[in-house]
Amino acid sequence: MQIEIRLFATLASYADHEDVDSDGCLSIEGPATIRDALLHLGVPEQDIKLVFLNGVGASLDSSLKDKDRVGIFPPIGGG
Amino acid sequence: MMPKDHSLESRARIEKDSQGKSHRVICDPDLLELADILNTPVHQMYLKSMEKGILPLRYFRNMPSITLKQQIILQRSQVAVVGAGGLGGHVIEGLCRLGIGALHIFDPDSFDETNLNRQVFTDQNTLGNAKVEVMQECCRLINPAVQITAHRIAVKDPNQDALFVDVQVIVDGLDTPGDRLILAAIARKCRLPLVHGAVAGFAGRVMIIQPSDNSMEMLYSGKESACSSEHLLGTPVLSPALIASFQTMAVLNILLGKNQAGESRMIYVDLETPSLDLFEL
Repeated sequence: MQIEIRLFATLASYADHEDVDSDGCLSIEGPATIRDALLHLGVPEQDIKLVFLNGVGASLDSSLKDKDRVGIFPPIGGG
Repeated sequence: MMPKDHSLESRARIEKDSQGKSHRVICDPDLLELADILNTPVHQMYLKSMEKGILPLRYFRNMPSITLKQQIILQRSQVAVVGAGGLGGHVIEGLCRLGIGALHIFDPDSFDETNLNRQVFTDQNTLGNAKVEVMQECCRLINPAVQITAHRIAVKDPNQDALFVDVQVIVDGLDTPGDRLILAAIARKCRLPLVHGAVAGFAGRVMIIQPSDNSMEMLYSGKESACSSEHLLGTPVLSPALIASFQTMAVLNILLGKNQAGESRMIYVDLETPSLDLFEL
């Protein structure tokens, strides 16, 4: 399946991966969870603060389906 | 010699807007002089003028995005801004120019050289001076109709809620997760909306946290380390200025009761890519 993966702020560089195309879509064998997808890209779990699935708060254990949109944030606190 | 007329009406003149519609307006020097002669506090003079349908000329270019009726609501409003750094400074300047009746600003710090990259009102002359005191003076010059109360203190105790009894909104201009959690607890205790903002690199987010929400606890645990994004990416001026504008808009919407649908969503803006995304926590 293909999922759109958006890695924000300091996590952006993990999207620079051979399985992520120029539109930010990751090809991954299903069934898979968000955690599986992030593990595939090498995103350290301790760096993850917010997880969104199709624009709504989700958990790393949320199951993925084709064309899902995933958004991942590290902590952000500057002012 | 005829005695000089000290009525607001006598000082008003007609100004036409771009649609050709006439408005009665009055200039700052007249309002300040009348306030002095009539022994009326300046902010009340501005309010009285607007209540008579005479718009201070300084707000003329706000119309019709902000109407006279809405300007009156703003003049009667009170807002607290906690943290007068990158975000807070821009928010304070914006709210001052908008004509919020009273601003309560909080920050224990003085300006230092690391603030020069992004913080409004920091310059060679203000380095070493207390941020809130500099801002109070600058804001007095920008808009005398705004009463600024400068609190040179940190808000670090959930029992400081008495400081916020008069305000309708609190703005989060802080930069420490633990302090933000305490501020959220205070806002909850005071039953006040909290306008959260945070930046890292060329991006940032804004979110209105209602007293019934526990969103701040989802954003921060209070145990975040020094490798939080802003430490790794820095905070150049673009992102605080941008996110502060979103925060100021959120304050405006809350005070005027506008665009409240979907207000709990997190707005994340990246100037570099550029992109704007909305998320439901």
